[in-house]
Amino acid sequence: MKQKLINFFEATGLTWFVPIIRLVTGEEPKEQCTEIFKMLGYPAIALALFFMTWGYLSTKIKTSVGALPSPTYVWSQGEAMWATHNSETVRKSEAGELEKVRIKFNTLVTERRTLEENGKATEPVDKKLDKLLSETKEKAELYTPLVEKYATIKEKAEKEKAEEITAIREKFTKAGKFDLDDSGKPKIDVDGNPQLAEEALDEINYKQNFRVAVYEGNLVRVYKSIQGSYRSLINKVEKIEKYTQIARELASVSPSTGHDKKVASNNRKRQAFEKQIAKPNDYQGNGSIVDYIKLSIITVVFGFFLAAFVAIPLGIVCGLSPAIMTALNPLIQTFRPVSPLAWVLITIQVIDGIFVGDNALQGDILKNTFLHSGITVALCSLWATLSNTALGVSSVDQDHLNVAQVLKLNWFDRIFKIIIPSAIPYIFTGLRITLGVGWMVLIVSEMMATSRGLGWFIDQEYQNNKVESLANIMVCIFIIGIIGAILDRIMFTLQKLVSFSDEVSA
Amino acid sequence: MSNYVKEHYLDLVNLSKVYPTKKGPFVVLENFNLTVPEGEFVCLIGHSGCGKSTILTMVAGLNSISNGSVSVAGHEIDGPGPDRGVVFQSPSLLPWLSAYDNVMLGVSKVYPHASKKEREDIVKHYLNAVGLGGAFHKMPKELSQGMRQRVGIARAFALKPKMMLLDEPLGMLDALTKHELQDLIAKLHAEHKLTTLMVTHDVDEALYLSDRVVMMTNGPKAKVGQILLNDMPRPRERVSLLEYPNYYKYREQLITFLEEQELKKKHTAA
Ligand SMILES: Nc1ncnc2c1ncn2[C@@H]1O[C@H](COP(=O)(O)OP(=O)(O)OP(=O)(O)O)[C@@H](O)[C@H]1O
Ligand SMILES: [Mg+2]
Repeated sequence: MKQKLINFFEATGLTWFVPIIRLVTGEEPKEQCTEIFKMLGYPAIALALFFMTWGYLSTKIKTSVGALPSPTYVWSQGEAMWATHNSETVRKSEAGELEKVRIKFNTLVTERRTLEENGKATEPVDKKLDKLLSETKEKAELYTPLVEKYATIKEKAEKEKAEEITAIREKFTKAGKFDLDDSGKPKIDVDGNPQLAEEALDEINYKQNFRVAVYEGNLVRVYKSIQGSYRSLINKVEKIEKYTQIARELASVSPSTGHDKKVASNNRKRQAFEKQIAKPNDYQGNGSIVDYIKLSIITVVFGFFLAAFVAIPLGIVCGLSPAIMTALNPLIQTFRPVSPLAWVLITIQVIDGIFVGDNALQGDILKNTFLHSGITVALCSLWATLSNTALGVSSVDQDHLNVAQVLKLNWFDRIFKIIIPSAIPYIFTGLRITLGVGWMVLIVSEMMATSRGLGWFIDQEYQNNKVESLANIMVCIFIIGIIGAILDRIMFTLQKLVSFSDEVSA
Repeated sequence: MSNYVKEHYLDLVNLSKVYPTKKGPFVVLENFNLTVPEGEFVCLIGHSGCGKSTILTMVAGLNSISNGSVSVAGHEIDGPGPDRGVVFQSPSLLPWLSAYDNVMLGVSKVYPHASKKEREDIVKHYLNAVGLGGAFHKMPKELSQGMRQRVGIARAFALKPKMMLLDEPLGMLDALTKHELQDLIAKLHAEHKLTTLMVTHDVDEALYLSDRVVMMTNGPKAKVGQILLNDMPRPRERVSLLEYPNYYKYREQLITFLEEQELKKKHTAA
């Protein structure tokens, strides 16, 4: 068990876990402690220094939208994003429930129609509808206490924040820190109060920027809107019931003049509402950070596989044939350094030319914009795999080729049993670089392609032009960095698994 | 098989090798002649760079022949083939295949009509024969140098070759492993009676294994300097060998030859 864990961490390059395991299992505690300190302590010191510098700079540097967000503020924005993700999840599941109820209503209403048309008794369905309606009404009202509950929490938090801000204001007022005019008297602000000095305003702004009870605030909105949707659904069903009732009454009275017209008009109204509840309700979420991350990862994986799919076979061919290599080399050298910004523009034009108008891709993930960014990733990142594969194939150990010769292996076996296997470590080295480059390129291509991943989100935030957005961008930078590092770890592990020796550079 | 072929199982006739170099053609061998009868174990010794490996790789078909010819079992060779088993100084196993699969690669090539079970048995038999019964599925990087070389030997023998070409197969091993593998090679030779050409630097090894020791003069244009007929009785025991009356005489002869060549080398250098 222990050895297995150690092997795992060594295989993944997370070697700093190894001494911890040894320590926990009571192996030479003293040595392990020094080891842990070296592996964790040094990075911890560097991190601490980094955050201190950042914290200090955030008090000094003014950006075009306000003070540079401090580490704590960025962290709180991260929390707010997470809260939004959670409330969006609630919205999604509530909307799902709502949709189920709508479908139930619709089924019953349709069923009743069919029964009526066939001249059969509708009582059982009527009863079911009645029951469902009253259940739904109850359910809709259940949201009221929920809304109240979360609204109270939110209000309380806002009040506390307001109090804190007032306290800051008072602190500075007491200390007499005002913005003075030329005559030495405090300036007067729009509300007619003496204006506080800039440092005071900075502190107030800083406090002001922190969002409180984000999750609760969002939930209030989510529950209110869901409740509204339930009520509107109930309303429509009640209308249907009303017109059904009228239709029955009309059927029971003896026909008089204008009777047919009345029946027809009533039926039209009833049908209009029936149509309304028959329409599926697309859940229109706002998207959350988790959705952006998911799409970004899917896009980079798509681009990565696309790159591998093109680069590996091409690399093998180049490695096998110096003539092809020579032929392709100028092209490779020319395209390799081209910026993703240029590629993405061409990709957009080409893809939008292929999937145009009604043919535009409308899938949940597979949209035109997805292809724009995915293909750009592939175009920019395939070169490393291409050249590494070619190198691997062309530098097969002569000893191994001798083996092939002695065994008189045919062309196919030579390539698939000797050359490709021996090039695999090179190929994986290339793939690791490809994934790294791809992830880096992805962000900018998403910005340009408006594919709703992290890059798009960053761009949106940038357009917002607020301190809050700047902090969100910084959160994204950390997310991007961490995911990039994880992807690299994964590739490192694969690279280690396929290598024939133990030397793989971390 | 005619008697002539038996007597000339391996026949090197006026063999020449010229390497084109930047300073012009470099003649390693010129009109080199050697005949090995069937089943004989011949050791080639000579100073470094005299062209031993060149001869061996040419016989293996891995190195082009500039002039002259090489025949095996009466047929002039044309490129490499599994009829000549080769073991080099480095075992050159395919690192992505296990010991078992390394041997199997050749076996399935050489016995295309054998059933799966038969092939498996062949692979297992030879791996057992070289003493790797317990390491079938180890990867090369998990094996010691000696074990890797054992796999290399098993791989060569499993192809049922007509002859064996060994180029300092034990050169990189420590003394103890070397002795073990010398015993292994002797055992396999006794069993299969394969015509063998082995390059070595080790005089004792040559005397322990060979029927004849061919001493080569220094290059360029290396030739057969002397031939020692090693008539020490088989099977040989390492210890009793030392008691054989001619052992020291033979050893003396080999070492004297090598020292003479060494002197000449210095002479020409100076
Ligand atoms: N491909 C080549 N091109 C040019 N010269 C070569 C080439 N291969 C070998 N030689 C030269 O040919 C000569 C004989 O080489 P060879 O490898 O056969 O020597 P050797 O007797 O096996 O030496 P050692 O005992 O060190 O293995 C050497 O001088 C070497 O430099
Ligand atoms: Mg050599």
